[in-house]
Amino acid sequence: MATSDCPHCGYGNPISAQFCVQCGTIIAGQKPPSVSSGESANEPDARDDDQESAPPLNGEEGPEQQPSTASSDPDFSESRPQLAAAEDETDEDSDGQGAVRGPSQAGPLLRGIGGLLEPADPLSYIMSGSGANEPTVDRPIAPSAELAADEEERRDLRRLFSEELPTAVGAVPEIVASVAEPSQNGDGLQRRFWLEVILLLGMAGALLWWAPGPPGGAGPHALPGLQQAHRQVDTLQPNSLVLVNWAYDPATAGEMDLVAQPIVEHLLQRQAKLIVFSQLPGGPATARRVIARAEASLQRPSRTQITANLVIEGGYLPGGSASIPLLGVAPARALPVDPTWVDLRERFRIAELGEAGPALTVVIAARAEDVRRWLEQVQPLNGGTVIAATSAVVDPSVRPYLHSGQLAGLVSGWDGGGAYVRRLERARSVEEQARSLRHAGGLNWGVGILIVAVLLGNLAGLTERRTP
Amino acid sequence: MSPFSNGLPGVMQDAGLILGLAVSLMIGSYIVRDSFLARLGQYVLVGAGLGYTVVLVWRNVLWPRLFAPLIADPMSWQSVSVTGLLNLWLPLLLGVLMWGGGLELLRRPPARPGGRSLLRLLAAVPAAILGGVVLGVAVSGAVQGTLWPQLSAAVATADGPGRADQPTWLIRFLTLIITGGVLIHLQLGPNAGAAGNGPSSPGSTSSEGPRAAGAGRPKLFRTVFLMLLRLWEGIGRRALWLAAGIIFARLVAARFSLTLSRLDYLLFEIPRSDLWQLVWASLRGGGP
Repeated sequence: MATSDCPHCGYGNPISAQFCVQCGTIIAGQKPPSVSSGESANEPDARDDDQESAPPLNGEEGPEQQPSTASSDPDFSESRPQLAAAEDETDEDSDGQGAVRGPSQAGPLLRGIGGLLEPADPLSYIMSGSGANEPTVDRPIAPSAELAADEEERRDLRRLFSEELPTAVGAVPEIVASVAEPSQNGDGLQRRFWLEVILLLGMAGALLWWAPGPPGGAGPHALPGLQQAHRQVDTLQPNSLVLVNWAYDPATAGEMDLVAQPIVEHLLQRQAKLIVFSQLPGGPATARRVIARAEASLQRPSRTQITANLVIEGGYLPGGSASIPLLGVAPARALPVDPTWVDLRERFRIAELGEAGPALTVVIAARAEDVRRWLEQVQPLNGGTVIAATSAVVDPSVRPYLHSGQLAGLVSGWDGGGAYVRRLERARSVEEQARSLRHAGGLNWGVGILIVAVLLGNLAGLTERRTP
Repeated sequence: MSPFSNGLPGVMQDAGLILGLAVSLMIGSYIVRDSFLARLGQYVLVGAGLGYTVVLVWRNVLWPRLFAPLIADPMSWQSVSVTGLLNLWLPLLLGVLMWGGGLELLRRPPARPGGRSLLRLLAAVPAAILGGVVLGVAVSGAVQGTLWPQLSAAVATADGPGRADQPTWLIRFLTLIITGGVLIHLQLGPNAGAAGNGPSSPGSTSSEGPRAAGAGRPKLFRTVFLMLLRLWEGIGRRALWLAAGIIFARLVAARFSLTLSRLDYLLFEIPRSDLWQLVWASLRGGGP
């Protein structure tokens, strides 16, 4: 049967095929078939003799030959011996003494199972031919002086394939000139190690030895939105339903815990009924830890109220953008997803969400996308009041939502959390105060070192620019 | 007690603390150089995270919402309502199709050409439904949640009464200047207003630029126009850089907070744990 090799994956398709059955590439109107099994089937013995007497050298394949999956797959080769034989015979006939295979003549870079699971390795392919990545192919590998790329060529090829910007068609990349030439602005990157070490040492030193001032100073700076967020929580009635979207996990807990804990503590003080869920796998466990800390820091009788189960664990809600609108139209169907913690009485409370909606929604997020997703896909459906507790870096991205009124409050960053703690009107423990002061000292030292580094870098840049 | 109060036993918490210390140090050794331990720590972290996710999905979604109801009543498809079919059997069917497409990628290429195209085609059905739903939700959400409210808020801010110390005309003027300047910069680039330089945007189709546009105008008018355009573009460019600087400053604050939290954990929380005290006392030979 005549076949036509796919220009992308090299698979031998039937000549009448419009698309490659291996990768789906359009092959209608391609070149005539490169292999005809009918021709080779007439002389299989001759092909075997040729192969035994003169095994093809590594890479000695004709320019017409495309490394097909059929030839690389042992099962395929076994089931179609004539086809495999014909391919080898065609190769030897076409290239004669073995033309050198260049990158432009190389076969597909992605091969194997669908071309997806096996990463492309252009170097090994170019060096050793089509079967380089196929350990099951019984192909003798002979060293060839023409084909064996030395280490210098490997470096050049590696650099060529790692170029971010594509080389213009027909242009020859200047490999030699740019390999050895040092980058003019590369010194800064080489000094990055020392900058990181100095930053770490500076902040660790501030944590260990910096003598904090007496408490009661100016305190962390409160950005606009914090007061509104505090007021929203402070005006909640006892047993109000509050939906908490816990959108961070341990990866960002170092910062986000400082923002989330005071708000959760405030909600528990107000004896609100929290329904906590997360769309991150690590979210529920993180929420458990922070809520337990907030619960432990509460004074009685608020802690007694928590024993009446003020917190309902909604668990993990997968699906991302596809599932979150369900919380706006039918939250009782979306929550809870973990029946272990939820009894029948609480299920009725969750069902109330669908009727009246939550009294307040708190989005605790380390990424702006999570806040935006809630405001775009849930709030227009239930029209609820939303406050956000975010990472510091998220603040500029979500602040327009505060100005437009879609967010009723915004607390961001360590400074936002610190300012919120000061509004809780509770006596902070000595350990908590010490930790806060340590954090402030470390942050100040880190920022100071970074500013000095930026100034020195700019100074060095100006000096070097003026130097001929 | 709330379910959130149920923590691990003290010994387990300490063990987790020590394990966290070990993995943190392994990954943190990357700052010195890329080593086997740094790679091992990353692989352990990624592998444990994936395994935890799989367990969580099974425990929270697949078992309680799909398989448990199906096993409880395997013949439910005969008597169940349309809603039940949509909630149970249709997700199962789509899931099986998706899993088939995934498993198909793991097996060897078929001996018979075309044998895998059917599975791939069938797996495209749930993938297309999922992609379509996500795309539809995202587009409609962007319009109803961001585009329209933000536009309305901008118009309301410009038209509404300003604060006592902010006259309305100033807000309107700044909004116009900054918005227009940013748009000019994004469209024309830093060469906007330069004589002889055409639009630098990739989408521009003008081949002769402002030279042709201003060929018939008086030279003074053209010079003033280009100068104002350059000035306006400069304001927009600086506004963009100002916004980028604010974002960078908040990014630095966020990352410093994370670093400080890790350092605080290593320097203060670890030494306070009971297990660490025990190990430390044993190392000193004093016993627990």
